[in-house]
Amino acid sequence: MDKNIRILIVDDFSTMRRIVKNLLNDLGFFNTVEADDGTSALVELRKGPFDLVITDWNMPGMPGIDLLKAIRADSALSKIPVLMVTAEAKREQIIEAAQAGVNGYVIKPFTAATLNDKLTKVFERLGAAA
Amino acid sequence: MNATAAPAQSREALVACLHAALDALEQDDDGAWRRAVDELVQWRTQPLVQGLVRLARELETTLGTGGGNGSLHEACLRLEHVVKVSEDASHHTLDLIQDCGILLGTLGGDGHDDEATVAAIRSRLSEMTAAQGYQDLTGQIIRRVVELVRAVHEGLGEYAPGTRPLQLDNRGHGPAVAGLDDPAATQDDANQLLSSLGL
Repeated sequence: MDKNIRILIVDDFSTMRRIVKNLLNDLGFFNTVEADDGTSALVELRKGPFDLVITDWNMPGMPGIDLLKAIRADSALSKIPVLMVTAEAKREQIIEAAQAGVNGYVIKPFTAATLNDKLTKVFERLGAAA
Repeated sequence: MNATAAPAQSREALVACLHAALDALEQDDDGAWRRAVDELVQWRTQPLVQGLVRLARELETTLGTGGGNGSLHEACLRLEHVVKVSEDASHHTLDLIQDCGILLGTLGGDGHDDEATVAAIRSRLSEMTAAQGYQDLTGQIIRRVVELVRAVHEGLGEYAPGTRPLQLDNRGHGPAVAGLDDPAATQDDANQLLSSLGL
């Protein structure tokens, strides 16, 4: 697995962005960029290539589910894996995210082990596809 | 409201009331004078009372017993949940710090597997990082309560020009609070659901 893959972390809370970033660092991934909502995430995504998006759902401006749909609807971005990390835990929301093409779903509060597990699975798929 | 803005009929009634009060005062009729003054006071305060009644009714409709995320009672319960989540996260972090202290004390011992100990410390450090996620959850709840307070504030200023009607934003449901919201899916539930959907 290439540890230099570029990862976009999207969350309106700077603490959560830092947590995800630190956990990624623990796994050896240091090439990260941050955005605080879907709109600014799309700006970042269109600026340069990304290999993975980790996004919250509930954010001011564009929420994560709309970001996911926008990514899947854009031919230049549609292949990027998206991991949802969110406190939104209603069954219908998980189904909506799955139908929109999410690659993984982590419910907050999460343990480091859970995030590691989900990231590993996404990275495995990335590795297999490469 | 003031006398000049009152409709002609109200103005006539007001003038009649003032004359009646003056006449009663000139004739030393204390009872009639008091009745006339009471009527004047009522005339003056009625629009304000009506406004407050209307505001109370609208606040009740918007924030009251209708369920959802808006009632003041629920706001208090959500804030209590914030206190509990913060406390739990602090204790969890402190427990992990204590564990690390104990593990560090075992390093370098005879026949001790230092590598495993370092791995255990690293794992606890990661858990400490994840435990700080409480701030995101409590922050979301506090923001919802701020929206509620803002809605009440806007409701109180309803008679000011350009005020919008009471309305709470609803981008998502936010963290589920036990006793207030439907039980949230656990990570295992989510895994099972996604697995059943082929993910």
